[in-house]
Amino acid sequence: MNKLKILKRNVYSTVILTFAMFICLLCSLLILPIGINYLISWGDDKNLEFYSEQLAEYCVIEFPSDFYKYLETKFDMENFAGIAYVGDYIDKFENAYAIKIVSEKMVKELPSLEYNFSKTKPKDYKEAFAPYALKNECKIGDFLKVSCYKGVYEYTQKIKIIGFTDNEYYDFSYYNTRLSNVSKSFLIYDEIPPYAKVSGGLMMSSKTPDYYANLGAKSRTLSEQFNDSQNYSHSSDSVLSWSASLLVMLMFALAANYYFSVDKMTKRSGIMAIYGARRSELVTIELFKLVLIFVMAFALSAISVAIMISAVDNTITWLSYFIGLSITFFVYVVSLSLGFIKFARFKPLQSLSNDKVE
Amino acid sequence: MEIIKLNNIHKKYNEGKQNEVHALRGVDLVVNKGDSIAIMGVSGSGKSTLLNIIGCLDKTTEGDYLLDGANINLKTATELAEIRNAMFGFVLQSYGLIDSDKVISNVRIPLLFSKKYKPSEQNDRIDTILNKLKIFDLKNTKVRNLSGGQKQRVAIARALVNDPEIILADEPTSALDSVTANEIIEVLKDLQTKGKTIIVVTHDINVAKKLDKIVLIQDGIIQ
Repeated sequence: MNKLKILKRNVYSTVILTFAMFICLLCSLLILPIGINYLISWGDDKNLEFYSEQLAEYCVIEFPSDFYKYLETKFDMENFAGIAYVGDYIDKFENAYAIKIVSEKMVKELPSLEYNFSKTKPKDYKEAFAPYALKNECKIGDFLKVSCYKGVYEYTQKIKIIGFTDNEYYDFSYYNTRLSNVSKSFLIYDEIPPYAKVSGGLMMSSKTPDYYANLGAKSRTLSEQFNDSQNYSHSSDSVLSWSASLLVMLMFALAANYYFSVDKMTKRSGIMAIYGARRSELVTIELFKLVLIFVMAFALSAISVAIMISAVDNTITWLSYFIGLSITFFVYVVSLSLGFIKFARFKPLQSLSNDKVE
Repeated sequence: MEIIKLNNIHKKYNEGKQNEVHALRGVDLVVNKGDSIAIMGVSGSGKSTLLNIIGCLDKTTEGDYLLDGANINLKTATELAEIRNAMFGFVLQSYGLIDSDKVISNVRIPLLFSKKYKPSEQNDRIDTILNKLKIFDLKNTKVRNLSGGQKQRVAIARALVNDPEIILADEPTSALDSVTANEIIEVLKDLQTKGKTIIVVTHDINVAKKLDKIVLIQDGIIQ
């Protein structure tokens, strides 16, 4: 309980530090990205870039079940624009590729996105875009027999490869509609078999979200989803990175300040000064510790953000990263110095008269 | 034989500023080797300032302080640190111990800066002192697990471990019940019989009465 009180008292006593960190946070999250204007893009709706007024009132939907057979009995699946999953195709190297069926509505009524299926289905075979990963093994015009599973869930089809899945394709979802990477999938234009699995899609009809909700689905119009997406920023990753980094630094700064201003160190130093240590020795030792703590915290923040930048394809740039680091470096040095100066001016007996804190 | 001689000591804080405090106003005090003295006074009377100056933790603004014949005003910070280590054993208010450390670590602190005991002799020295104060069994116990009386004995052990000439005790009984307080005073009196000089700052007249001499300080002046 005492420790908690110390921490509480320390948090109060580090208002300046907290304020400095808050300014730092603002700098990093707002001023810095806006200054390098392309970093933050409020309302830049890249995920819904195919959005148009014609699509606005159609409903994105998440079905209560994923069996197409069941959905057909309940929903107007003739209006369904989406992709169904029927299984995996295993090639001779034991690599698995998803077999996905593109619905007729999607092919006929949405922009093709360079997936140019014939509007009329050929009789003897089905048209398919093969996984991008198979580009070296087969070529456009080749016929291939794909199959998956056995028995009632078997799907076997002769397909003609008319392209490869090197572009993104529609991914309608109640939560986040976007263009997705389909490079490991077959996209086949075919009738959706009853046992196929469908989680969601776009219902291209005049029916309302309430209608679908009454059938047990989650649904909203594409325009609602689009409007929500206005509030989403693609700089979220960078914002998160900076926030995480600053949180780490704030934690360390608070801990260091706590350590320097009230806890054992001042008391221990007070005792040591009374029993013969020179203040300059004690301050030098603690300065060394401070530098170590600082280097550790700063390195941790810098590395963690760097890893995030490297790993995530986000909008933060290395230029902004170094500018951000410089700002946090400065703020961190100033805020920690405050705690340290407070320590360096300690008076031995006074530092002990407060020893009820421990 | 005079071990401490204060002559017309003044101490001002924030000198020349609006908030100047004149804590000591011409203090004269002579303490002989082997004396036991109680310094009494109300809060803000200058007791702690006087203790700081006697213990070489603070410098005077004016006046002379002779410690065992040496003029303390002429000493450097390094020399003062060495003097504190060699000459004084401090028993601090509310014990002044590191609660999260073991008894032995607390008692060892003065020896870290000692020129009297080599590192190879220090463990024996600690054992001797802990035995003398009847807390040897607590050697490896963390201070936070001790009673008030035990903590005060540890504080005294730490004050004695480097064999100082003068014991400065700041309110050594304020946190103790009367029985334990008496025990601690007896420990201090016993030290006096072994030639140590004892200076105790206290509010408690019963404690003060047990020492040889009472010095009353009021508004920075010894009455």
